[in-house]
Amino acid sequence: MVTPADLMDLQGRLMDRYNSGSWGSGFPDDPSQFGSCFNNFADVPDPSQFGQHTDALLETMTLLAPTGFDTGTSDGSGNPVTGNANTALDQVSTAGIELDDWTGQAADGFFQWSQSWKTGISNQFAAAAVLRQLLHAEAAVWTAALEDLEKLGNDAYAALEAADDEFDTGAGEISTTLKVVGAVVAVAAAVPTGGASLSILAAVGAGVTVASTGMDVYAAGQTESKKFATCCPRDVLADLMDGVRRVEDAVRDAEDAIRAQLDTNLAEIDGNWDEFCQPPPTLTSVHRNHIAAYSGLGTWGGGS
Amino acid sequence: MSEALGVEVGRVWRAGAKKLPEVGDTLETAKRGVSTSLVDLLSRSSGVGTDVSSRFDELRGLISRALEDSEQAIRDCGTALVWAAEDYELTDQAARDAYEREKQRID
Amino acid sequence: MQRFRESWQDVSVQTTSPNGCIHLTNRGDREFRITCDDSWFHRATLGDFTTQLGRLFKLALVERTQAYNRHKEMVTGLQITPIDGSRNPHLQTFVDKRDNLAVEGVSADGTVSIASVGLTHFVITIDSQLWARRDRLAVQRALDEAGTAMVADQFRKMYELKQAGH
Repeated sequence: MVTPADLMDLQGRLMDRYNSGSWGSGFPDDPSQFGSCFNNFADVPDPSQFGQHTDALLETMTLLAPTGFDTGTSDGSGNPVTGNANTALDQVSTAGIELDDWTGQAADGFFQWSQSWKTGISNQFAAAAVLRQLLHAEAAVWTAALEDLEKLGNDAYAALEAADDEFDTGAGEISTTLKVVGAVVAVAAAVPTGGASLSILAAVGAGVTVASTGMDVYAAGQTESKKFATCCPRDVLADLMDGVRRVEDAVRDAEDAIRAQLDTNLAEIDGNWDEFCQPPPTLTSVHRNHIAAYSGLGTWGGGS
Repeated sequence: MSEALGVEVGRVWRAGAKKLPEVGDTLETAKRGVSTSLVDLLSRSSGVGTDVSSRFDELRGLISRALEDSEQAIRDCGTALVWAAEDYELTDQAARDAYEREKQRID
Repeated sequence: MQRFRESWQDVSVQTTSPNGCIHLTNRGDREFRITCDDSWFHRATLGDFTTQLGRLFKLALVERTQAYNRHKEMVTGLQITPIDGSRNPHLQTFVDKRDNLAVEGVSADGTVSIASVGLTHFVITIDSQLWARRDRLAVQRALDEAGTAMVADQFRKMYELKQAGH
């Protein structure tokens, strides 16, 4: 996995190679760009750092899961990441707390509240799934972007070598393929939404761009070609910077799509907070000294 | 108060003191996955791409707050049930006996 | 890249003239060796001979370029494609100058010269006295010298073109 630090090393090697070459008049206006071509990527999200966050979110999902689920992502071996329902949550019901013969106003209130509470948890589960999915999308974008940039840097290095070679006629260009530039903003796997009530969270799954299968989101053929002239460093640098710009554009487009999904979700959650997170039942608002008098609380098993 | 009610009081206490706190603990653990800020992971100083770090972290924060509130609601609910059980225990000998039996069984 | 450069010197590219009677072996960047069927050599006119040579050189250039790119791909993993001048005016200038580059090679004794513009059209001149001797080995030797000199001239001028920044 390519890291931002790898790119800093690579641009240093590019600068060194330029400085050690014999270029006649074919030098670029600003050769120092060889040594700074990847500066914009010095502290971008590091693909190697996403795993701890997506793993933690998977644990959250597992604990909140109202049903068995498929994350729509895959692990390092390409196997689908799935989980089971957490039955511990079923305790939030009159049956779950073994008071299913509890009757009366408080019982009814608790029963209704527990249903809404579980729906809220399902919404939170779906939101965690969306967050994880979008983090995967980010990871995938940056994984591909940094791999593309490394490829550009290596090809630029080889092109400089050829340009500095008196027996290479410069008639052959180095062709490469870029993944992130060719990435098609595609439909992702559906976010698991068992029991969720906020429809937008379900829709988000269908709209999530880029990341549908873990870190590798680019189907075969979804690439663009990039060529490097090998005749002089001026042309090599022009091709290098063109490639860097294309990667930057592609990253911006992909992150714009991710941002749109985030905005949609944030607005939906903000606008439906009580559905997303059920307020406590009225039972809990009764003062300690009045609890015994709380209407209906004393009617278990038909007794009073 | 009936013997039947006394048995139920023990179950009420168990629901409030044991079962619902277990659910609260589950949510507390679930919260760990959304407890770490995503800003450091996703921000960048160069302006390359579209910096989505604050939006990501806002979504993370909302989930974290919802889990916190949901956990608190469950724990409050448990507390209310414990209070109710304790009050019945004070006023009814049969309920008290059942309450103590259940409590000893759990403890 | 160093491994490619070194290993390329051991790669031979063999080309045969359209009539199958003249053979050219290029090895790496320097070796240029002509052989000719003895019986055809003695039957051929000077015009036939130089015509076949000109066609042979055109074919050889194509085959050498392909072999060079294939070998580079194999050793370095890079994908090499013909230069596309249409990508930008600067590259087009390079392509235009390359296609009009005049190169020449002459044998040590001056009896054979090979000249070309853009390596697409070749003019081969063989001294009439040398041809009249019908000494196949002498003609081949002079052609080897002239060809080697032409290749060296081509490398030098292409490098100058690259150094000039087009």
